[in-house]
Amino acid sequence: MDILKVKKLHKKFEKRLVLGLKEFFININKNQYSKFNRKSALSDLNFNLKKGDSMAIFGHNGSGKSTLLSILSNTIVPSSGEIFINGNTSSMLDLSSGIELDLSGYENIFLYGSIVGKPYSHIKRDLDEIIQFSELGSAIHNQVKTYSSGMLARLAFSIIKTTEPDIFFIDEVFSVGDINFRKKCNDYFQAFRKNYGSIVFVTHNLDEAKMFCNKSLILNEGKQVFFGQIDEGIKKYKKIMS
Amino acid sequence: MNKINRIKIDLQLLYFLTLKEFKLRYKNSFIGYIWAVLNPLAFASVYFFAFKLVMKFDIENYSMILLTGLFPWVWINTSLSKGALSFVANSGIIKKISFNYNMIPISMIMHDFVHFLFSIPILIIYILVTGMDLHFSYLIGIPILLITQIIMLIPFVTILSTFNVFIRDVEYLTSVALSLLFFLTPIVYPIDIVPEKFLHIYMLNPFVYLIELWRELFLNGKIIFKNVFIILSVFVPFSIICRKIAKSQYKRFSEYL
Repeated sequence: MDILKVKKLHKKFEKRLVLGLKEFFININKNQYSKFNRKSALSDLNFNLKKGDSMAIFGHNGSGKSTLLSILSNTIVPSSGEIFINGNTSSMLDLSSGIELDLSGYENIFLYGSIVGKPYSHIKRDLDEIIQFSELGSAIHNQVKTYSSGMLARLAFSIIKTTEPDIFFIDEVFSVGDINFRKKCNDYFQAFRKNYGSIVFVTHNLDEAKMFCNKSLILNEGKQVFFGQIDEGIKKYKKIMS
Repeated sequence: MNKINRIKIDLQLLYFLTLKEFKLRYKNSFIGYIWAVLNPLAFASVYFFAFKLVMKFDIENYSMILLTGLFPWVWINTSLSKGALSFVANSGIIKKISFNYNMIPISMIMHDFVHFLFSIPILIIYILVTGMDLHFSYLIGIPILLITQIIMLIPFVTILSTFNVFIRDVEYLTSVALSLLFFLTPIVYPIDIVPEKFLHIYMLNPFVYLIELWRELFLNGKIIFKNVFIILSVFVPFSIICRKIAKSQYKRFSEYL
């Protein structure tokens, strides 16, 4: 059974309205080609994951990895193509991913839970687990803006993991955690995968990719270069990068 | 059952978004929420000085007219001006999670709704101090008017905040419109002094009906059901339309924010 299926996915960003008078009169020459300013952000992506499959997404900066994750997380819509997702999803698209910096970690647990539609009773039930997993201790009551990026990642991930999704969409965010926390996350993901959970994640760390994923997708300038087994993907990716 | 759950979750989200607004609005401020009451009181004294003492406006009970106009106006004014900005101000969440965005602008109304609740005891104390009569009709009148005002504000914040995502001029336009409306609504003067020949145009401003409601209630203990009916029959359908328009645009939000 496919848990995620993407067919002929295409994304072209809308041409913005002219947002100011200055831009209206002074036409900046944007027609010069740059791979970062190409016509389509993503074109013709086709892949599917079965239940229990996990996929790593490789590619240069600006190749469309994060755009793809945003589309899968339903925060932006594709221009054409089809996406089937069978199950609940949770996303961690960046370090803060919906965490409000002016609130405390504790307050964020309730706000985030409410945003993703968790009933109050469930948030209360998971409260201890979140605080414990994050290891923030009494710092949970400090404003999040006083946190280091590692602490922020701890908080965000601890909250997001209690949403118990079938699929995780994660954009390279664990590079900031210390060894302890990464080990903890790794253990969590191993267990998650054993229970036939799926992870789709963007990474530049090939060892991590190999540890969690059996599939891989390589993007280049918005086009799908490769989709298949992880080992083959890593070989291909190394070749492209060199 | 599912629908009830949905509403429960939405209300929970609204509660926490409003709470967040409270935490953010007055962070690092010493007297915090007291500003919510001080602000209209300060305005009331200035207008009292200018119109009653300097220009010798001959109006009975002018101080009470000012207070019953300014307190609800501050609620209207802050909800609309902050509400128009609300999607832009919350872009961090909107870009990262897909959820029911329509509670975000409504939370701005609720934030100032709570402020307004704080000002009601002040009005009542003022009525007692100046030796006017309190009325039992407040007990039914106040909740009815509170709900009426919330229903009236919802479509405005919904549509303004949605347009403001795509065209940021909306927030500037809103503040200009609000300063015009301030004088086109009977806030610092009673409605009786508006010349008859302008009245048919003047009465097109929906906020006239609302301010009239509050003033009649606090001054004479009367609930003008006609005005409640007019407001609801216009703003309930308007609200549904605005909600539809906003909802159709939600999916484009994160590309523009």
